[in-house]
Amino acid sequence: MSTFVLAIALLLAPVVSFEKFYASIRAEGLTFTDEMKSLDGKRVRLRGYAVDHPRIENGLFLTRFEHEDPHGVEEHDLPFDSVAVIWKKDIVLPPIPRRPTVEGVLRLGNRTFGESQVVTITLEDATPVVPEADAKK
Amino acid sequence: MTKKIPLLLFAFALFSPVTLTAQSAVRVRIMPPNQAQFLQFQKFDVRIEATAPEGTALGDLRVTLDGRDITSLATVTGSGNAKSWTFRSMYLGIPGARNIGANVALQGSSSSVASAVSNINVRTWQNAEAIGLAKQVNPVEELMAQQPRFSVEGESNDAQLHLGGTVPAFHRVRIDAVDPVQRRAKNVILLIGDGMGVAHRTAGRVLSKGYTQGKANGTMAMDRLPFNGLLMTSSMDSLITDSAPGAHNYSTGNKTNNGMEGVFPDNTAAEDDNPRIENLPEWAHRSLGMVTGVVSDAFITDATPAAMIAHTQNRGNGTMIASQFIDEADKTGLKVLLGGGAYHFIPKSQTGSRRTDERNVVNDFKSAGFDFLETRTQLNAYGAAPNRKLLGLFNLDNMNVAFDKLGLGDPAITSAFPDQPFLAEMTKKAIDVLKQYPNGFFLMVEGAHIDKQAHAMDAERSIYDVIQLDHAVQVALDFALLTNTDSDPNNDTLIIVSADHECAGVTLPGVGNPLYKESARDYVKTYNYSAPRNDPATLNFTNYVDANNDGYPDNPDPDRKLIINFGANSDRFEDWKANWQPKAPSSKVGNIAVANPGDPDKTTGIMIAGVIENGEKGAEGQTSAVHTLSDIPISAYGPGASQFSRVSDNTEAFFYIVNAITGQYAVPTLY
Repeated sequence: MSTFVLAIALLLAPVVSFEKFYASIRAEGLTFTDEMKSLDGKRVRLRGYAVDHPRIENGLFLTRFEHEDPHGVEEHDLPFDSVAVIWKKDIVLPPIPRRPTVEGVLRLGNRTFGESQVVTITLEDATPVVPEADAKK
Repeated sequence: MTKKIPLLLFAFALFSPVTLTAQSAVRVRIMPPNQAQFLQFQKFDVRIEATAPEGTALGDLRVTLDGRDITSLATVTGSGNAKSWTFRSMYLGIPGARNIGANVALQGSSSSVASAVSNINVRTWQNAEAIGLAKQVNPVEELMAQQPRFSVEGESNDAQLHLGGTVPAFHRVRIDAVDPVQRRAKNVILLIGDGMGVAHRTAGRVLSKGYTQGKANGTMAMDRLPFNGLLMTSSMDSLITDSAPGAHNYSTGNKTNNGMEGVFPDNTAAEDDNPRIENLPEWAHRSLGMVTGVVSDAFITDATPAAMIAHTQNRGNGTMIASQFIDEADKTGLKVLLGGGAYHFIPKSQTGSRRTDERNVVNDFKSAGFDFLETRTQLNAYGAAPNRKLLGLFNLDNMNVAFDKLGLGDPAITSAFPDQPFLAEMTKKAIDVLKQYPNGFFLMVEGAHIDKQAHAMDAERSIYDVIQLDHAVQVALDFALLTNTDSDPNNDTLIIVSADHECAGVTLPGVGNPLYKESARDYVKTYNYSAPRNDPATLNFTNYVDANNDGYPDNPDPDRKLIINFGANSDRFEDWKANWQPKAPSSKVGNIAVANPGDPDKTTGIMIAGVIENGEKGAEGQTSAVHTLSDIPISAYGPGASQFSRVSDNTEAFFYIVNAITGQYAVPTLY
């Protein structure tokens, strides 16, 4: 039984977290950690607060802390460590909980959504990972 | 036969509805708009736009100043159904009512089909001549020769002057019979609590000082400024202003549309070509050699700081605004820039950048002689010396709020930038650098999160920042008390504390009694009529404690806390307890803004229904609290401070500041 669980765990995409994104955070810029660099281009999992932002199509942003919903007259910018999530094409999405776990292909580097929403990390070809416990929240 | 022509024309007109419609739909817009006011010699651009329906060809555009044709001073651009006329850097020396008129004809016709007039007011600056500015020539004001109430000094030169080639020379303005008045305020420090209305200030006082037997146990620094008034805050296109025109009024003396700063609107998509208004830093630097400092705990390209020293129709264009900061530093006299928002200063390819180009603005600042700092430790160790210039960017993003910097929220919030200064430290260092310059300074300090956190309806994070700003006010006041009481009458400082608008409709309905930790509704106590008399334990006052004496309550949730409500709100859940982490008050389900279903307050608190557009009938659903129309308090100390002691339009504040600097203000009359 435990061997089976281990086998499943090995098949799962590695989990990344907001606090492990950057080796150096300075006003003059960010440097990714070696762990993040080694995962670039691979499928990873990340859990964050979902922000359904007008500037991203077929996707959402994940933030470390819950962020003011940016809808409305002023479209608020998101924190510097926000992550863009682009859903897999033609996916049928279940209801997304407030703080989902998402799996996708990690892409490091600045990317602009809409006119001005810049992120440093994108998860492409993404699917939501919604355990029962999460979905109820 | 000749008599038939008018009749035929009449008949033609009668049966030509298309032409008539086209004519009546021709519009002419003049910027500056009606009721604009400028200081003598304050520069501003004039732009006149004529637009007509598709397919209508516009003909000549004719522009007048006080009835005199000045069309040839600038070039008409555009064709077909859209034409415009732009004149850059006009400035007027003749005070009083002036007017700019414009007429447009259809192609092939000489008769006007649409016209507009902009009546503007030029306000005197009595000692302009004493300071030497009045000697500047102005190509527009040869017109004065035709206006006998003003004396004009002719001056021959060979300059190419247009006006149809009929006016041969420049003229100089000479203002008669003005005593050369000494400059008065050498320095001006404007502290803006973004979104800070009366209730925010009251709440700051309750949290930081407390009340006993109905009397405050102490006053905040901003309470101690002797002259107090109110400002009206509407923008040019809405009763409710945003932070761009709400700060632009201080720097330009004019209204503009929401989202714009340092400019009037125009009909082009380009964000850097709007008609500009010379701002206070530019005017003070050009005229008097004053220097400028801008300090904010927002990202520094945000609306309020940018409205001081930038010109754009889009407050969101951080790339352009950061570039303007350094490109126009010689015009604005910018010597100190401290805040967050480094992401608009580093090249696009640098991880974390939000620029749209590869420019490294930090390096450009360094090349221009600015010292660059990134941390609180560096800031406090920085030694001010003559002619130093200082750029401090302490966060890629907005700086964190006092509540989190103090460690009252989740420590993870400040973990990315653990070493950020408080506003008071930034203000202190800004003054230390700026005071080394011989001709005085203008310093703007913004407490940005009073507004940002009121939008999010996070009472503690907003009101703790009122206290943070007040500590900066104390630093400014300490400096002004020195300069204003020493033996030198020429080094005095004007301190102004105000806002740009009220945010969130803050109300203070009462004190949360101890039940607030377990009850949803039954604890906001107001009058205390039923309490047994003479029992101190039942008095209805707050019991915040500040044992570490840092000016902030140690525990944001004591047994009796101030209830801070938000009346200009979207739907939200509320349990009145401080939030460990920031949260979204509302979110959208479909197009409708609802109270955030994931809010932990949903189980511990109550749902408070919103009053603003929620999108249920197709309007723009709002998911946070909004700015309100309430007048904002303004407090002042120092030379010229008495001018603020009335109810004024916010554009007047610019003129009060200028008057304080030039020494032209009346001693208040007592009735």
